[in-house]
Amino acid sequence: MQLRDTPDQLRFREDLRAWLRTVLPTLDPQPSQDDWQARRTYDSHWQALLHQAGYAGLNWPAEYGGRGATPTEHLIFLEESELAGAPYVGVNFVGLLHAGPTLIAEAAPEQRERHIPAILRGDEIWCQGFSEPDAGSDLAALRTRAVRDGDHYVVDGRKIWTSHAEVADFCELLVRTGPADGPKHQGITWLIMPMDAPGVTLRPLMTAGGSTEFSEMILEDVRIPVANRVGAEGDGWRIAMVTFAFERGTGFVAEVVWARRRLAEIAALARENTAWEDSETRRRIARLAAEFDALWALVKRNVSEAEHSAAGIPGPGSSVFKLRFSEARQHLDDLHADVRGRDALAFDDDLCTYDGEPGYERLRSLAYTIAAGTSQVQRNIIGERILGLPKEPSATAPAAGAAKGGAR
Amino acid sequence: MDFRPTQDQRALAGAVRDVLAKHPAPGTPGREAEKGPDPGIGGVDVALWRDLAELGIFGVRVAEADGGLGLGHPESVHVFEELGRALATGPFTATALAAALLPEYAGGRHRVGLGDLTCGNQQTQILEHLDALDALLVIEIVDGETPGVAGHSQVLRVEPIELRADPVPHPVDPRVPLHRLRQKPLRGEIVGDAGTADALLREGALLTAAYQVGIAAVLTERAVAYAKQRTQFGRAIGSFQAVKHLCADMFARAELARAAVHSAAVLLCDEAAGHDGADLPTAAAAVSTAKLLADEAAVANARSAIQVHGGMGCTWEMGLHFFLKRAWALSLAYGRAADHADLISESL
Repeated sequence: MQLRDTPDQLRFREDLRAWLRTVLPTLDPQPSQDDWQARRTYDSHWQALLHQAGYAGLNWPAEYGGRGATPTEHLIFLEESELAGAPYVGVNFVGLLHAGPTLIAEAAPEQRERHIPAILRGDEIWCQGFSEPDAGSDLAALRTRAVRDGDHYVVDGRKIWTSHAEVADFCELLVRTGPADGPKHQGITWLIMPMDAPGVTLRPLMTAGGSTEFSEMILEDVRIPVANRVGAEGDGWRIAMVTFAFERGTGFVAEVVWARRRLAEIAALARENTAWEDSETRRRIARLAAEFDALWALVKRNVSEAEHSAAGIPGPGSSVFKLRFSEARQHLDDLHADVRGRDALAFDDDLCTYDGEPGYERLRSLAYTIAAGTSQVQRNIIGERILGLPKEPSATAPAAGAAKGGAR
Repeated sequence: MDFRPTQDQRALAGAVRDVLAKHPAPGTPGREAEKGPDPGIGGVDVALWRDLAELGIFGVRVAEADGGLGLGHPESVHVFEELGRALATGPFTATALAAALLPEYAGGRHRVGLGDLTCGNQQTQILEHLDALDALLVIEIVDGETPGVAGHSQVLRVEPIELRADPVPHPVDPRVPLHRLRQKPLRGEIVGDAGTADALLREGALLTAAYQVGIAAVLTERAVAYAKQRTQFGRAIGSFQAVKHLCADMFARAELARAAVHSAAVLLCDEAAGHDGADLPTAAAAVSTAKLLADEAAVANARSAIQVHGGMGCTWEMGLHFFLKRAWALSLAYGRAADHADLISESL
């Protein structure tokens, strides 16, 4: 049980630091959060730099152009990038964290060759078409239909919470190919949808923070070639589940590092503006520091276990992390507002939406306990998959059957 | 980095667990309905103490040449989590601290208590297990200095028999006999300076946190087992989200607190050697983090375990109250939440 770098890890860390020191000063200032074309250009440029330096697809297998790094090296990468103030994954999020890993695991060779290198270079942006207005936490209830017509699927339906849809080239799309009244987890299919296909309409959704990161996506008679199907027809649910473990395992790691630094800034501000003299405020700051330090330790425990497990995938323990981190993150932003006092009534600038602006972060963090599985869903996962508690009887099963233990 | 417990650490924990299983404490499975007299003088189960001493648990951190196991804090916290799971009762923490300071205690032949006279403005100091003690370490402030200021405390070794103390007639935790100290200043042999005092308090907080993690973890298991077995409205109560989410939160608290305890144990070991430049808290802050989260986890999980057990959870015979009472008491030992929060805030 130890936390030190091995000599290899230390070398990896030092090389990365040196590279970040050289390359970060060459970057342009970050574009405004709502200038999507500029964000795409900025994020793609960063991805291209990572690619040239051999840091793209860090934890992806080398045979697909990745670096084949260990989970610990991946952790070091996220930690050092955040500490150095490097850009986030940005519009490449879905490609690198969802679609790419799914294609590697499940796609046909020609599909991989077509998309994987382009994602790694930052040439191809992906978005996610999973959630629907009537299928959120109950994702398997999705209703977007795909009907076979020769060598195409014809797709009709609505998708929602589609991040970066305005600038995406492709969408990982879940559709229903089975009967509408069939078993809901079966009959779902995973398709690659080109975003320029006729019949795709976007309606931006503005969040409480004023950001237009999400869109609603309306699909009307969109024709998608059958060759764009990943895996078998009807196997889409299983394929989609492959990526969720990744998202919960590493999707928030860099944010713990960010939160620990933000807390130090809040402490400094409190010392400056006398909030520190209030012992209750001081202890709230300390209690949150304890929470984030413990979460950081929990990340290391999860990563160590992933590194030595056969699959290399973070286990269900990542749900504990997701649950506690997202709630702590909201406390952090509330605490920041309390320490700022009435200054927290105003955004810092006219655009009111840039990374790190405290008022914007406070509103943005509302989504933390909802996105990527709500806190309630995380508690169900912990209760059922880790602790082995019985499932809640489903609405479709008769209660009497559930009482006899016969519900499915 | 490999933050997983090693094979040897798990084996040590397993050996301790096996010994503890042979001497179940009241309120733990095997002795649920026990309401008899204390198991021994001063609330110590002497047979259990002897078997654990034979295993070497008091000398975990003592060099092998001095009769210890020659291991470190990561091994100690594994042992103390097991003690907490079994709700083992006695001056385990203080004796282990004394052994790290004075190797003559490594074998566990003597029981050593600890009194911390530096914290709070209490008129009287409460001591645990006094009748069972062969020696008492007392951390006190040297006369004329401000209480609580590091650098002015010292450690005394006192003969328990020379102390004037009154037994507390009705301790809340019936398994931990208490005495109120009537006398100050104390006479004794100086065995450590301010640095020693700080080290003792820090390690005591770490071991106590590990014990609290044991409480938090074992109560999660008991609540989950009960939620699977107990049926209401025709189904296991654990299928209801209201109950399931209580259990999920218990699990999350115990896991997070354990990660904090293990991290603090490693950082305390590494402190002298220095780190590799990674973004890590100081050992002192890490120990305070561990104590803070483990106290919360133990107390909250004891309450939740009682809640999941419903009316039976409140009964004496179910025994959950023993865990809650111990968790309460330990959250007042080796620094309260506010003390540790203050310590952490100094590092920010």
